[in-house]
Amino acid sequence: MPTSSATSRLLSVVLGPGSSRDDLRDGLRSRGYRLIREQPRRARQFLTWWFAQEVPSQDADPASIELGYEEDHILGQRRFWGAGLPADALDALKAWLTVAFAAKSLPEVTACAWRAQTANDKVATLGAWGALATWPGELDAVELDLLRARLSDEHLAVRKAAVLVASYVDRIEVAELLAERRQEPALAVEIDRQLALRSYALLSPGEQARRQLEDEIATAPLAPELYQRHAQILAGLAQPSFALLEAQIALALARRDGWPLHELQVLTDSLRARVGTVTEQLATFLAERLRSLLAQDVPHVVVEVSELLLPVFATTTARLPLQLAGVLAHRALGRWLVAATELGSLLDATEGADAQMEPRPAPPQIALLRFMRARLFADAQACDAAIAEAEQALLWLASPPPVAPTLGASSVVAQALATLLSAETPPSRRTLLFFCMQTLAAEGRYAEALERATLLAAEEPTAADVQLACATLLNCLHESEAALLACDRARAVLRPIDQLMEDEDPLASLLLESARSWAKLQQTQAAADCIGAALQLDPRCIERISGQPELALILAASPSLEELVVEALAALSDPDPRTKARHEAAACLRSLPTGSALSTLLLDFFVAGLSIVDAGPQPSSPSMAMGLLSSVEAQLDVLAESGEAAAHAPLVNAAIAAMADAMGL
Amino acid sequence: MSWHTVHSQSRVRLEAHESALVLDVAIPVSTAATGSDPSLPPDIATLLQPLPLLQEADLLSALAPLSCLPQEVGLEPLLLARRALQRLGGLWYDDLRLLDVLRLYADHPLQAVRASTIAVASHVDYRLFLLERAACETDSLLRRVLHTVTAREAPEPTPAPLPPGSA
Repeated sequence: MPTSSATSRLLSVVLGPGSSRDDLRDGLRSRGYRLIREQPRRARQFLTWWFAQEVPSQDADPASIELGYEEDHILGQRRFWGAGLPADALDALKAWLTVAFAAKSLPEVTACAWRAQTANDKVATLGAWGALATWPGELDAVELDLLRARLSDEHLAVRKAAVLVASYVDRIEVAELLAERRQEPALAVEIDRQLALRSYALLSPGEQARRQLEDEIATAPLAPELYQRHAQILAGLAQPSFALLEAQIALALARRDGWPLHELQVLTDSLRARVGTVTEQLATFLAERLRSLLAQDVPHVVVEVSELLLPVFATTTARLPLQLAGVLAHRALGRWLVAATELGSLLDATEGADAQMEPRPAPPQIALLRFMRARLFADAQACDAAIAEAEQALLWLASPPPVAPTLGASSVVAQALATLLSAETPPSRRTLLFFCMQTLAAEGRYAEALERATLLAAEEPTAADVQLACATLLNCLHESEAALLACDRARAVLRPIDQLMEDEDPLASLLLESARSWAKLQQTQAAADCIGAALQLDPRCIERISGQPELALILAASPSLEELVVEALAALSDPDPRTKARHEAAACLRSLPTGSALSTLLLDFFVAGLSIVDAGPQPSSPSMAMGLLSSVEAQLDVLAESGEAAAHAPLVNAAIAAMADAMGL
Repeated sequence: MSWHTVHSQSRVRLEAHESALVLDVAIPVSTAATGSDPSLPPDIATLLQPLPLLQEADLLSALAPLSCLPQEVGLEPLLLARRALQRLGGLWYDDLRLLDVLRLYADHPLQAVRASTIAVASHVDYRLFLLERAACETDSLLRRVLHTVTAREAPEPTPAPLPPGSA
C-alpha cells in the first residue's frame, strides 16, 4: 500500500461515509478556518476546497499553511489534508475529524484494505485501493503484486476496476503492469489510452538513461560532463557517429571552461576510429545540437566542432549542416570574410557539377544563402562582392522550380539546413533590391543605386518607401526638381498604415527630403515650411535635421521655428503623444497575425485615430474621438466573447490607450 | 436557469436533472430574516409557498421502506422510495453523500431497487461503484446493464492536489 512520506506536520486522512462537506465547512469555520477557494473540475466529478486560518497563527507562516478537502466522485472518496500548522493544531484537527467524520489515516486505510484482501472481498479491496490510489508516497512490491493480482482476476469488472484505479498512479511500474494486459480486448482500448496519457513511454533502461540525459542537456546545454556521459551512452548503444559529435562538443566546452582534456581526447579519438556508416538522422541531430549551441552564444565551440568533424563526415549528409553551422559561427564572431569564404565553398558544393549526383537545395534556400553571403560582404565593406551576391540571389529567386530532385525532396538534409537557418528571414526580390540600393548608396554610388530604385519603383508604383528612396537618391545626385516630383509621387501613394508601421514617420521624411530639394533650389521659405511641418509631425526628426548642414542652417535662420525646435528637443527625452501612439500601434500590429479580424479592426482604429490627431483641434474632435473609442471597445468585447484571446491583451490595451491619449481623451 | 431577486438579492437556480427539477436558493447572509419563516426572506417565501417542494429530509425519510424487508413493505411505498432515490440523485448530484446512500441499498434483495441504485449511479458516473456492482451482481439483466454502463470510456484521471512535503 502507498506509504506516506509525511512528517509529523502533515495530516492526510480519508473521511468516512456519510460525511457532509457543509458540516465539514461549518465545523472548520467554528474552529477558526474559513473556506477561501473552491475548484470544481470535470462537471463536479472532482471538487477541491482550500481553507485558511481566520486569524493567522503566531507560530506558523501563513504562506506555508495548506488545508484542503477533496471529493473524488469517480473513486467515491473524500480526503482532507493539512500542513504547515503547529503539531498540536494538526492533532486537534485530526481528533475532531476522527470523531465527527470517521476519518481514517493511512495506516487504518491500509489495514482495511488488507483485511478485505485476506477475506477475498474483491469489491471491498478495490474500494479501499481506490482510497489509497491517490495517497502520496511510494508503491512497494506488495502493492504492485496486489494490483497485478487484480489485473489478472477472473472477473472482468474487477480487472476494469483495477485499470481505473491504476490510472491514478503515474508510476512506470504500473505502466508496465498495464502494458502486460494490453492484449486483452476488453481492456486494450482503455489501457492504450492510459499509456498514451502518461508522461513517459516504456523504454529500455539504456534508452531511459539516454532520454533523461537529453532532458538534462536541454536544461544545461553548456555542461561538458553531460555531453561526455551522453557520448559514452551512445557509444554503448553502438552509435559511434552520434557519440563522436557529443564527445567533440564536450571537448570544445571543456576546453572553453579550462577543464582537463585528456580523458575527453582519448574518448574522441577512440570514437573517431569507430565511425563507420553514418545514418541520415545524424544530419538532423547535428543541426539541432549546433543550432542550440549557437543560440547559447558559444560560436567558438561551434567553430571547433565544425572544423574538427568536417574531415570525418565530409562524404556524408552531415557535411552541409556542419559547414553551415561553421559559417553561422564565424558570422557571430564577426569574421565576415571567413564566413563568406566558407559559405562560398558550401554554395559551390551545392551548385557545382558534382551536385548533379545528389539532391541540391531548392532555389529559395540558395537565394537565402546567397543573400547571407551578400550581407557578409557588405559588413566586410566589400561592396562589389556584396552586390554580385545579391544579384545572384535575385537570379535564384527568379529561377523556375528545378526538374531534378532537390534537397527539398530529400527531407533529412533539407530539414537540417532549415533548422540552422530557422532564424533567417528568406529574402524577397524587394529586400534584395533595397539591399543593393542601400549598399551602393553607402558607397556613394548614387547613380547605380538609383537604377535599382527606379527598377523597383516600376514594379511597385504604389510603394511610398520606394518613391522616398528615389527622392533621397535624386537629392544626393543634385537633381532637386526630379526629387520634388518623387516626393509628390510618394505623398500621393502614402497610406496611413505606412505612417503607423515605420519608426520614423515617412511623411516627415518626405517633408525633409522636400526641404532638401527646396534648399538646393534656393527656395528658403519653402524649405523652412517643410521643416516646420516635419517637426510638427515627428518632433524627433530634429536629430536628422541637425545632421544635415543645409537644413540645420535653414532651421537656425528661421525664428518662426524656434518654438517648434524647443518642443522637439524636449520630445527627444519624452516623446509626444502622437509619436507614442504610433509606436504603440506599430508594436501592437506587428504582434498580431496579418489579416486577422483583430488586426484589421485595430488598423482601422489607429488610422482613424491618427487622422483625428493630424487634423488638429476641431470642435467635433472630442465627440468623434469618443465615438471611435467606444466603437472599437465594443467590437473588441465581441471578438473576446467569440474566443479571440488577444482582444484584451496588454499590448492591445496599451496601444488603444496611447491613441486615446493622442486624441485628447 | 438562474435569477436574482430584487428585494433580498437572493440567487434562485432551477436545475433540470434526468429524474427531478431542483430548485437551489442562495440567500445572502446579510439579509435580515422576517416573516413567519425566520430562515427565508419574504420574496423567497412568496416564491416558494405555492410550489410542491421536497427537501432532502423529505426524500431521506421516504427511503425508509428500502431498509425493511420487502415482504413487510407494500408495493406503493417501495415505488415511492425508489422515486425518492432517483430524486435524491438530482438533489445530491454533486454531493458524495449520494454514494453513501446508494451503497446502503446496493445489495437490496429486490432487483428493482438495485436497478434504481445503478441508474442513479450511472447518471452521476460513480464509476468505481458501478464496477464494484458489476463484480458482484447476480441478476443477468442488471449484469448486462452494468456491462454497458461500465464499458463507456473512463474520464482522464485528474491528479489530486498533493499536500506539500509529499512525494
